[in-house]
Amino acid sequence: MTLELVDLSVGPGGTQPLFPPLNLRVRAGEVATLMGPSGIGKSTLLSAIGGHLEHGFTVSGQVRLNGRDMLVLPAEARRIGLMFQDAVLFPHLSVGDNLSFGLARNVRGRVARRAAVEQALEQAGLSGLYERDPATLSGGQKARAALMRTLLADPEALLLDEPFSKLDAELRAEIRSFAFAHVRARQIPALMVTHDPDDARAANGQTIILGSEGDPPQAK
Amino acid sequence: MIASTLLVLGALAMLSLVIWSFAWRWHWPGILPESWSWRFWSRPGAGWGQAFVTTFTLAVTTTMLSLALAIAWLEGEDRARMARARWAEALIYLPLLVPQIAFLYGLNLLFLRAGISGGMGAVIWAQALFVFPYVMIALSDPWRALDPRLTQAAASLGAGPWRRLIAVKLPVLLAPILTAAAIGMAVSVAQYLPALFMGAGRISTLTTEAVTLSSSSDRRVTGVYATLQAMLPMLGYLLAFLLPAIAHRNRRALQGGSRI
Repeated sequence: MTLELVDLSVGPGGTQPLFPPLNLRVRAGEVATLMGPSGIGKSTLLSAIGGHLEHGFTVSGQVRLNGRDMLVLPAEARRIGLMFQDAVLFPHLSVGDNLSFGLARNVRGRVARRAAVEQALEQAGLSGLYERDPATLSGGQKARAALMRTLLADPEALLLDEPFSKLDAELRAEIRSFAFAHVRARQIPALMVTHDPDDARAANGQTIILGSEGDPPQAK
Repeated sequence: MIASTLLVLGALAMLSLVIWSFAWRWHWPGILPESWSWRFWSRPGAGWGQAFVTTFTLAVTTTMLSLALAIAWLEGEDRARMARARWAEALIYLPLLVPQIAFLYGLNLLFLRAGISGGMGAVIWAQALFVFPYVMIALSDPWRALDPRLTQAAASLGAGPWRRLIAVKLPVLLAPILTAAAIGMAVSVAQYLPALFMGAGRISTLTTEAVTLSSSSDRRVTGVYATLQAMLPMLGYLLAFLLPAIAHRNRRALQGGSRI
């Protein structure tokens, strides 16, 4: 599985794109890092790839996942997982129902679905928390639950928008290795936006700096 | 201070209505009635039963209609990923700004020509013109304040627009939706001119009767109508308060208005 960005640029309609056209190829199991000054459009770029752009933005270029053109598809058909700074668990559902929200439809039957969720909870060290209110989880538990929710939907690529920045230092390293281990185990491409050089080092993939003022994006 | 004074005065006025509705003999300057009676309450057939049913039916239908329309409008804005046009915003407020009497007179003429005056349908239509703006105003801000990342997360998990609406937005917004509905009920119950004009005088609601009775001599009967008229909106607000509290009793993030 590969995620390819071909001459991709995004900008508010009718004006200059936020950054020069970007070319990038993220291989299966790789976590590529996207860095750059605030306001350069890193999160907007992720929105464009995931299909969550607001009205008024135009995208040019191509986003290809496993050879398929993504830009013509609505977000729900792209199978691109999304992780935010916060866990953004659904506040009205139990932890278990949050995880089963995106669970693939081919897991049929109440028992089988419940078993799949229980197994994911166990992997994330959240055994026995199926019925819990997500608001009562600790920060680390929320982050792990959110990741398992995303992975249970069986995504073909993963976008991470500063996913560890709100966690304290100790927890950050733990959740980071937990997330990256899952990306590698599943062999899906991942693209991470971050300000933290430690994140980039731990990702151990390509690092792209989105430059300002017409600098061509450079790959290190 | 002013607010609590007004609240106390309002509560006292309400209380006096309730007392009047149970009073039998009450001579000045007695603080309380000398004798009490159930007789006005025990005869719904005397008129208040029918007026109550009509008012309730109008309130529920008009509110449901307005709520469905408001949700469709707001969801439409979300799906188009567009903000509301200024003229559309102004259009919502228009029925609240134009004097009702002028507005309704024209509408009444139109309805008469079309031959649809005098029925429940015509009254519902006219009431909705005033109920919808309040429902829309009450619901717009909470709807927009909903964390967009919730629906983005749902979409990235494979949920299409309908599932995002039904499984995420509506349940998370249950409290503001019910509050908007309660406001809509209260506005509908209080409508006087739409029921009078569009109903061609043939549709009696608690409000039209209470207004007529308020100039009559029998304060006991007026007390019955006015009590019922105040009770319906209060019932709505009570449900808007209780239902989300029960549905979300184990969901801390949805209780205090804080988000995630």
